[in-house]
Amino acid sequence: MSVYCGLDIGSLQAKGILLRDGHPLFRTIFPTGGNAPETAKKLFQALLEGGEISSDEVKTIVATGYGRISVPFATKTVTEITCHARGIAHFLPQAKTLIDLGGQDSKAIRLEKGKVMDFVMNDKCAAGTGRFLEVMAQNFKLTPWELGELSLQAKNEVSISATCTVFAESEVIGLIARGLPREEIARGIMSAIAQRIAGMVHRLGLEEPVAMSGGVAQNPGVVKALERELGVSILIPEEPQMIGAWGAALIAQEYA
Amino acid sequence: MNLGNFVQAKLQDGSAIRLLRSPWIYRFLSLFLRSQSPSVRFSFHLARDAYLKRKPVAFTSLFFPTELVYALGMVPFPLEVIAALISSMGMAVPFLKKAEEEWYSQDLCSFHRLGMGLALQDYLPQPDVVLSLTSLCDGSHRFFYNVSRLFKVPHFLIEVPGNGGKKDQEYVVRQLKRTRMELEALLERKIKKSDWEDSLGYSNSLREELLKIYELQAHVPCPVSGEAALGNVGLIFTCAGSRWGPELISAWRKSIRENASSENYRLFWLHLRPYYPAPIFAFLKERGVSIVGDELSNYIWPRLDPKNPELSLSSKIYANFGLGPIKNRIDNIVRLVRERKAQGVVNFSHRGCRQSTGGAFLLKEALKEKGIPCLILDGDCVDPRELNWEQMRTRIEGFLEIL
Repeated sequence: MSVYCGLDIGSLQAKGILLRDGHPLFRTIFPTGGNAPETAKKLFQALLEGGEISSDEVKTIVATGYGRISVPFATKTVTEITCHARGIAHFLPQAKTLIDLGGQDSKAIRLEKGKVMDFVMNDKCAAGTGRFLEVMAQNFKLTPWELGELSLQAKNEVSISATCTVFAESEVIGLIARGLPREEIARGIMSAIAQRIAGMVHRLGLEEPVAMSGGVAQNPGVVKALERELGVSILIPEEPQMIGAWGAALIAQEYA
Repeated sequence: MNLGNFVQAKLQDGSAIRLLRSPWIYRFLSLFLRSQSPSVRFSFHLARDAYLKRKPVAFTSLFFPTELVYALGMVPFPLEVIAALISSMGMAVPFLKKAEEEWYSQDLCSFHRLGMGLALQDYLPQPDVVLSLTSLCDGSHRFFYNVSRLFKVPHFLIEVPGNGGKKDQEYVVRQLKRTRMELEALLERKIKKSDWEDSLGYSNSLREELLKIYELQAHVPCPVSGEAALGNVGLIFTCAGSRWGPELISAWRKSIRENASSENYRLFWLHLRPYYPAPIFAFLKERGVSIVGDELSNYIWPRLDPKNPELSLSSKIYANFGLGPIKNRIDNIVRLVRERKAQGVVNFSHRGCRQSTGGAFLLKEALKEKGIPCLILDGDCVDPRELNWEQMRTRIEGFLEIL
């Protein structure tokens, strides 16, 4: 039986999945590091080993993510926009709006029956991405996930006015130094991200149900802040960080 | 010998300032001129006439009707076009930096920032006058006013109100007449009937040649390079009214091979393109994308009548469908998209260009209603530091996947 492979080489993490008969055979995640072609090769090898198959058994490989052009052995490259849409349509076919928060970019995607109708991407600026969250968490000596958890304890929030990652970091350092409640600052950070993402979603026109994918969708603080900002519940698939790779593997299967 | 490479090398080693003003360099370069393309020959004549002051020099804004300049025996020196040219040579950054050091904000249009950098570094010829319109660009006439102060020469500004109704046209005609009379007094040269006949006649011939190009753009597959069309925008506006106009566009048309290779996508382009070396057009070509037209090289005006020169030029100014309510622009874009059988629209949203970016959302919404997908591509036409190619590539690929 043929196996199909989806590789999502993101800016921070490389995700891979093998599908056999529509079911996952093996999946794994590597840090992308500084050498995307090498990471893609290692990721593929790890998938073959984990799935206990040879490369000949893989019929089609679809690469996506920013490192997609660094996968010379891919049968086809597809943008993460289309792959996330395809992946989310598999798990949450009812979704009409998809928010994909990745390591270094964020996207709002309008869907109709799993097809991309329109999309908006962040531009020029890293605010509203996983990297922004990482930088902010470092100031608290926490992981991004812990920062999200901390923000949920706040009853009020401290407003973060700067939207630039660098300026927001100095603002947060100042707020911590003034002794303001850490959980309220954390909530302010989550709201700052949510406001930027909500702006992109509204540009497309908010249509429910709203789903979220990408690594940042695992952060409870960001999801809560986005729900507050958009005034809707957000559907999160089981492994949101794998949605791009899932979509790529599904497209590989359809392409074959 | 490639004349373009020679000029670029001299610009890069800093000796160009002296060379641009040396009669010997033009004599030397003229030896190689015959084998060059009409656009290189036109640029050579324009530079020679301006830097050696063979003719009075007018700094002009992009949409200023150069027919008036040629009729007066002047040479137009279009600063925004020169900025694009410098950028295309990969030489933009030092001039942009110079302007920024002198407090010209990075939020301003980079065409004007670069133009100011050239002026501050003494790379421009000494003008006799500065001529600009308020047409479309709000920053333009302030930039040109500033340039006129720097060079201590008069600035003639034509205000272009409304969307070309009778009173608007009369107002523009009055200003054009007054400007013409003041320029005649300043230059001590009256425009004769034959000057208008030549200038407007050349412009009409240029117009006819452009219409032939538009016909070719509608062919499936499209034989006209969208990159070349966008690259020719500056030339079209600069040579209108000169004998070079029809020759340049005719040479462009003859260079088009009608048997185009197959195409996967047909897109219509709005606003301008990045002029600095960027992989965008090679990438589009690789994906089988034809740019079947663009907003500015499709600026077409009614035939000009030498018996009513100012009224004709006013009509030409108002033929710009970016003027007036955005509905004008939308209606014309929809018409062109349909005529050219385009599947979608790319709106290159040039940073610092308020008139273009300001209407982007309305435009996208209106096109969506008509079922025409639109990609808003944020970027900069002149400043290569603003290019984030990975992001831009993902946007373009994502858009093509939608199509």
